[in-house]
Amino acid sequence: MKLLITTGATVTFKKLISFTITEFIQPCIDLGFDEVYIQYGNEIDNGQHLSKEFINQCLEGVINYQLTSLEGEFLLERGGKSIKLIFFPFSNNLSKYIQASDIIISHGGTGTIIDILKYSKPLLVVYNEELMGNHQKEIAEEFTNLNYCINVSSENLDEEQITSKVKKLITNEVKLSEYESNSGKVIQGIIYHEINRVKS
Amino acid sequence: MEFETRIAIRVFLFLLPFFIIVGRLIYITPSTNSPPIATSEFLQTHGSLMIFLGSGGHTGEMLKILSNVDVSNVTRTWIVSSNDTTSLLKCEEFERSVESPHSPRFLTLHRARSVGEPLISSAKNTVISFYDTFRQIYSLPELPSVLLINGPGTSVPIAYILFVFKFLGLGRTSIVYVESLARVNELSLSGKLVLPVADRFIVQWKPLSLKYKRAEYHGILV
Repeated sequence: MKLLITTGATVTFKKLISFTITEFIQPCIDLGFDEVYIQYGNEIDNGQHLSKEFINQCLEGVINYQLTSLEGEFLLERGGKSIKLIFFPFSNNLSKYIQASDIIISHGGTGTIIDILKYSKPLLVVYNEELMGNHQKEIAEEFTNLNYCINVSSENLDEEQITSKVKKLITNEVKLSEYESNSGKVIQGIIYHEINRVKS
Repeated sequence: MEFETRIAIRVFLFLLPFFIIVGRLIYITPSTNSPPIATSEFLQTHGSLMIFLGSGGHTGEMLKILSNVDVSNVTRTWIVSSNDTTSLLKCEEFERSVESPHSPRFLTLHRARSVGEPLISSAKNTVISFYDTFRQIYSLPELPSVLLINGPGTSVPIAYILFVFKFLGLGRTSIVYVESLARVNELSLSGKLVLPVADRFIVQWKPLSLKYKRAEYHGILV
C-alpha cells in the first residue's frame, strides 16, 4: 500500500513535515504502508533551499538518513518490516504520484485538493493554520461538508488521532463521495452566450 | 434674449457633457443592470476570446476551468506577464491539445510590481504597465468579444481598459470574472474591484452568491 503526503510547494509546511518525520513513520509501517511519497516543499531564499534544510533537521536523530540532493529514497527496516521513503521537493506532475497512491494526506491548497478528488483517492486534508490571509481552513471544511474528504488542523497533529483517521480511510469506515465535475459545460455556455450577445 | 435666459442656456450647455458622460456610464456599467444569468449551447457567430493567465495558482485554475471547454471555434488571445514563463509554457501545452483553424495569439505584459520593490519605482512601473497594456490591446486587429479573468490584481487594469473602450464606443467586450475556488465567504480584492464592471461574475461557493446579488453560482468549475 502506498501513501502520498503532499505539503505544498511555495511555503515549507513545517508542522506537517515535522509530524510526518518524527511521529508518523512508525504508524505508517504499522498501518501496512510499504511506500510513502513525501513532497516536502520548494521554498528557496538567497540560494538556500529552506525546505530541504528543514526536512534534514527533522530527519536528524530520527533515522540514519540525510537528503544530499533535492530528491532521495531511503529504505527503512524496522521489526522485520520495511518501508521505502521517497522524498521530492515538488513536481510538475503530481498526478503521477496521486495515481500511484492508495491514500493521500494533503495540505489545504485548492489546486492540489481538486487534482486528488479527480482521481477519487481517499483524502485527509491537513489545513495550515499558520498561513495568514489563507483560506485553507474554510476550504477544507467546505470540502468536508460535501463529504469529499476529512480534515484536521495543523494545530491538532496527534499521532493517535491521525492514525485512526487514516485507518478509517483504509478500511472504508468513512465512505467519501465521488467528486463530480461539471465538465466545463457551464463556463462554455456562459462564454458562448456572451459572444452571441456581444456579436448580435 | 434676456440676461437670465442666456445664463441658463450657458449653464445648461456647460453641464450637458457631464450629464452625457454620467448617462453613458450608467447605460454601459453592468452593475446598474441585472445580470443575464443565461447560457447558450451553440455559438451563433464567430467570436474572439481573451484569456488572462495570472501566474501560479490563478493560471492553474484558469486552465482547469478551460480544460473541458471547446475553444476550437473562437479566436484566442492569451495574456501573460513578462516574467511568467511557467504560465506561457502551460498555455502552449494547452494549445497543443486544441485542434482549431484559428491559431492563438500571445501578448506579454510588462509586470506591474515585483515583491519588495520601493514605492516610487513601483508607482512608475504601474503607470508603465497600464500604458503598455492599453497600447497592446489597442493595437489588436479587433477587440475581444469576451475577456475571461480570474485574478490576481494584475487582471484588474485589463478589465478597466476594456471597460473604457466600451465607454468610448470602440468595443463591446463582455467581461467574465471567475472568483478563485479558495474564496468561500469573502471576495478577493481583485474580485471586489472588477465586480462593478464585470458583465458576468461567477463564484464557486454558495455563501458568496448569497452575499453578492450579481454573483452567479453554478457549482465548482475547475
